Amino acid sequence: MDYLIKLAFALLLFILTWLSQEQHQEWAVERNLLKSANNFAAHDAVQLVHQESVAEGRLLIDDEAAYETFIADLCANLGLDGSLQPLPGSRLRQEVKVVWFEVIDERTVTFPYFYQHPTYRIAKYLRGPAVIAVIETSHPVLIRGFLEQPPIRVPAIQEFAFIS
Amino acid sequence: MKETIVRALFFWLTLIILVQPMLSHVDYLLDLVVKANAEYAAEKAAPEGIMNSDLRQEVLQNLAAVGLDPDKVIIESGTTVLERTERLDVRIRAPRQPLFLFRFGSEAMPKEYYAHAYVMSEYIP
Repeated sequence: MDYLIKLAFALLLFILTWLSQEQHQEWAVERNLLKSANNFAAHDAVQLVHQESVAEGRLLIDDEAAYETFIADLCANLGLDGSLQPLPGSRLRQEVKVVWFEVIDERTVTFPYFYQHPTYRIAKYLRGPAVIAVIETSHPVLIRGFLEQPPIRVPAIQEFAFIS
Repeated sequence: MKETIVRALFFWLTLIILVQPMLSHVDYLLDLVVKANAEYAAEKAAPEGIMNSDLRQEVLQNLAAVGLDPDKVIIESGTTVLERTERLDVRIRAPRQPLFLFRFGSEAMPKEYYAHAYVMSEYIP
């Protein structure tokens, strides 16, 4: 009996440790996917400059087209529907939220410009027009602990790719 | 005799307890490497508008370095040069070894690592 109790305890510890490990791994995979998808989406959004402004020697980003492209890119890279909910087969399990999206160009600032966002702890020198985006999704849960885990939140900044 | 049989049966359980977390971690790392390579390839292909053969070879070498058989890795990407703002896709499929010793559910285990990265081309002709 004593042996069985020890065995059951060891088994319980093993299962909890294993699930905890799986949860950490899932967090890392999802964070990696979110970061890359956010980088790609911001990269594509920043390419959408107004052609008229280019002819005038300025680079102004089309805000609406940039946001639409940003969302479409997130959906394509993460397997989401239009409302940013995961489609069947997607690696993510919870909705993705765009918590910050900002376009910086010559309409509002002069470059080089030191961009700061204290809430999301972003600070970067920008050399040209840029898109800044922060997205998040819920922390994967395999073991419900006492504390609620904060969401996985990733920032991305992409500057306009200058052609030299 | 009875005790020996019981211990022999529990030996397998002990073995699973020791080995499974390590196998699980290897599986996770390989998944991460395949995904990271798809993203790397898409990022590097964007300025040229195509995933060229050098880049394809580089990705295969990266995957071979972590033990995946390059002959069984499938890399899918367009063969035409895409112009700026056109969609560029990179898909990688690599064979996945069964690394879980015990299957809890009825769902079949995945037989491959899959990664898909999508980015806009930056290429200006």
